[in-house]
Amino acid sequence: MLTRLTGARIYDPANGVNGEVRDVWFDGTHIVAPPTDPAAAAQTFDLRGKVIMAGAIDIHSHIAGGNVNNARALLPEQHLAERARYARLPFAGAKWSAFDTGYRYAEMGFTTVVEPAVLPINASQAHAELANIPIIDKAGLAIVGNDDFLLRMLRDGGDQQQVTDYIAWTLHATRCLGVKVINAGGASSFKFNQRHLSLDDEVPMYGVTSRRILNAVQTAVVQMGIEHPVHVHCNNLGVPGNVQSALDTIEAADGLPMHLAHVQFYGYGDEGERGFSSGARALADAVNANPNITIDVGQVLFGQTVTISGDVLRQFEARGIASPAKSVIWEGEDGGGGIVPFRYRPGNFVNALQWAIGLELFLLADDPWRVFFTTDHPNGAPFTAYPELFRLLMDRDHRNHWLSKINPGAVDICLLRHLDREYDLNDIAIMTRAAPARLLGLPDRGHLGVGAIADIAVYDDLEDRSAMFARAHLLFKSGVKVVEHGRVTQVVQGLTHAVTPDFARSIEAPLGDYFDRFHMMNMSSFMLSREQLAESLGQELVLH
Amino acid sequence: MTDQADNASEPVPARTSDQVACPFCAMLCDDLSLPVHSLPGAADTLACARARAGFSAALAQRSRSPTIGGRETDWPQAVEHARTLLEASRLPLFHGLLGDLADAQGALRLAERYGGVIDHADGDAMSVNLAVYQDSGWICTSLGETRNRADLVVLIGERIDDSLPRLRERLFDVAERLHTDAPADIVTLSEDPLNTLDEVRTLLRERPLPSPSSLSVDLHERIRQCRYPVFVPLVAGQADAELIVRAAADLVRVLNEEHRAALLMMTTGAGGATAQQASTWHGGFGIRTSFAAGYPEQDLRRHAGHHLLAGDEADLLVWISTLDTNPPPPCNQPRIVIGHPATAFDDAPPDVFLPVAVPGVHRSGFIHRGDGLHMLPLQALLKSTLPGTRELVGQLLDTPAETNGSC
Repeated sequence: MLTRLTGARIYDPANGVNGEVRDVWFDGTHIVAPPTDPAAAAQTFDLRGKVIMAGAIDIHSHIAGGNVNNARALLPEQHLAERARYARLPFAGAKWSAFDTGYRYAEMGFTTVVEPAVLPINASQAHAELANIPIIDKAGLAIVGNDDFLLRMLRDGGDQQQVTDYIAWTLHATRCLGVKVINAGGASSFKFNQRHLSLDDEVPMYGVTSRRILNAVQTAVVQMGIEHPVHVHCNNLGVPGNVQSALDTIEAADGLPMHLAHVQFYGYGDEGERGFSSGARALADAVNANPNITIDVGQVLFGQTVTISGDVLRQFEARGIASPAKSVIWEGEDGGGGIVPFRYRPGNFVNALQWAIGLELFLLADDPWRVFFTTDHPNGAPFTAYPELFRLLMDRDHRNHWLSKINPGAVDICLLRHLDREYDLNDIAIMTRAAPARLLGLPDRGHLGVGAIADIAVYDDLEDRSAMFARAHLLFKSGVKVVEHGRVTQVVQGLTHAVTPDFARSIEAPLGDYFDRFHMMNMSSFMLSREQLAESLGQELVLH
Repeated sequence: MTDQADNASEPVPARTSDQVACPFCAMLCDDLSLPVHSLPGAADTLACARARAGFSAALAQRSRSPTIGGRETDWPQAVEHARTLLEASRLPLFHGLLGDLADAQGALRLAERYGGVIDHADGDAMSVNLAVYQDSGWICTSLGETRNRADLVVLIGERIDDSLPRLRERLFDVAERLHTDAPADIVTLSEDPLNTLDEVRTLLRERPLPSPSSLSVDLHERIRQCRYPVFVPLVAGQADAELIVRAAADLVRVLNEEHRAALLMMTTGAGGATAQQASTWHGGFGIRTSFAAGYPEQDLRRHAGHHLLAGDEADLLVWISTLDTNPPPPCNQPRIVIGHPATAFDDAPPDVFLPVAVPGVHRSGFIHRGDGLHMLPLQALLKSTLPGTRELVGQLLDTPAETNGSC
């Protein structure tokens, strides 16, 4: 149906449109050029006073997979329901369910979300959960870097081409869009009771350093030619003084593309009376100086949440600060992880400084095309806190209000109180639409140009930006109106995106042999076919 | 570029006839040889009794008509009758869940639509573990890690070999392991494991213990000598099951202060881990969740299936079992069975029997390994005329199954 959206201010930075009043036209699932005769529209939405952006894209949000699901089961008290939020939509009474995830993202105008930590052996469950998340499009990043097959290759001097073939095979087997490295070698080290691993530490039994693993995977991603750069969770997450780990990792990238995830958790100095300080300036300077580096922030916002991570070293270390006092540490083939509930408190010095450091990184980084909004959901805060985060960055007074409420010791030593910068709607549109689409290699979304998918969010232009972004006035997903006045009105099934890089099939012989020798399944049981995902999960894959 | 994959000829899992996956227990062995599936007796040579029984029954029964009150009928009438019972029910119980992901998802969709409760046939055993988990969490490992890395495995329970016939073979009788040539030391605690675990924990904490049993002293010494002990509590049905799991979890926590150790937590029944995982991402909590209020509420004791039946709180039993041919437990309530086509009801047929395809034999599917980490793809081995659970549930919900599996 040819549809005209008229009267709204358009923020479409990929096409150089910054707040001008224009029409947006779409026909069926895609955006089209305006027809010569405006009367050709089968339906017209008068959106005067509204703001239009492409559907938002979240590049890093833990929304599926065993680690997430086991966190749900661990913490029933965190998501007790009291009513169904929607009378007629499936599982709308189930807070934090796969279904609820889709509804809540859609309410805020999001249309694509990436699960960044798919452990290959758990990939089928991750896909099953993603398939049950309605409305939005999804994708996963496959975790490598603690896999015995890879570490053996590196130990035994296998050549880079073999590493690249193996990682490309892993992407096929797991049906993922990119590659994630979590504390390279860390989970393997933990299996030998080594409890810390820095970039130049060797992984026991393999004699290779974390740096070597990271470098091999990064090179593989570059050689494969997939769009999304290696997505890196650095060593020493959460440790005071760890800004040096992030700086070392940026240097180790050696000018090649690399995405550093949730860098707030690496923005820590170890200065001052309490041995904990902001490293945001040094980290932001390094990011600004290295155009090959992209970051997402992993902002902390105050309240109860749960940390869910494949960084088993970090989670094991953090188990003592769990709140409530329970945690899960687990190990599996080629990885591990942990679940540690936590409450960030504004009156707590460390938590308040974490909050400030995240905002500092946002405000000190120069290039909005290389900085991405995340809370590392749910690690820094649930994704539903994004509107509040947008407001904090767009509204200096609102930040000041918070600075007057949080731990005064943290305020005294943070940079944030000196930063006056305020984001504008164009910045938001870059960081949540145009830039993520580019980073993920999804050229038909994140913008409103002709040929783009008709994923379109319409907002009321409210002074309170938190209220504005909490509830989209309208959301179209692939041309279907799915949200009105911040409420889901129709459910559609989104797609799942994956890449299929070329690789030498000869890697399958040693891999098949490896499965027979060390796994409790044969290789074919490990691999996900497009047909079976469609047939058994009802999930259509889009291969890039 | 014959050696290269491209989008048109991307690799697909290629299974040979000696790589058939067995869904009939939680080990999910995928090394079975079933060369000609359609021949009578094709499964007779399988070494594992559980696999032999499972495949024999499913391979032999490729079709069956639905019944109402034991009398054969056609599908539209059977579905309509089942729907009538569901709509009339005040609190339907969706129980069994001895199946794969499609079966669990079907149960969940029905439970949500008709305001019912879901539970698994092994709900008692699963709830013991879940109660400990929700209280304190734990430090755990997987089947593969146990196979490859554990140097001491402590099997806790009386009926391990009945539940998982090939557990020992597949974990311990292996040619190669990671970073070691030595086989794991295996200890079985079958008599009063609670006391032994308590004593060992006390010894590890170097607290006074007047007269520890020789078993405890021996186990303590073995633990001290090893690098990665794994404790496997399979204590379903034992009176002090929850205390045993709690003691093992606590012992592992103590050990990890300085060393490494882990639990291996397994569901043993068909589809247990899948029922728990799918229930969790649908409803948020897991099994024993009620949707009667319009939103999910879990209660590990009150929502036990047998309790709801015995107390007449549930007024309809919907038994879903595609991997097990046993009939549902006897009860006073009307019964709908969505089940294995070879289900034998003897002289107590259910109100409605809706025979469906067996995952991994008649249709494809996904099912979790007992440790919950890997969800294995299952392939159809032969054609059948039986409907899949997903398709049938779509009819019971009065919405086309094709719309999608989720919404």
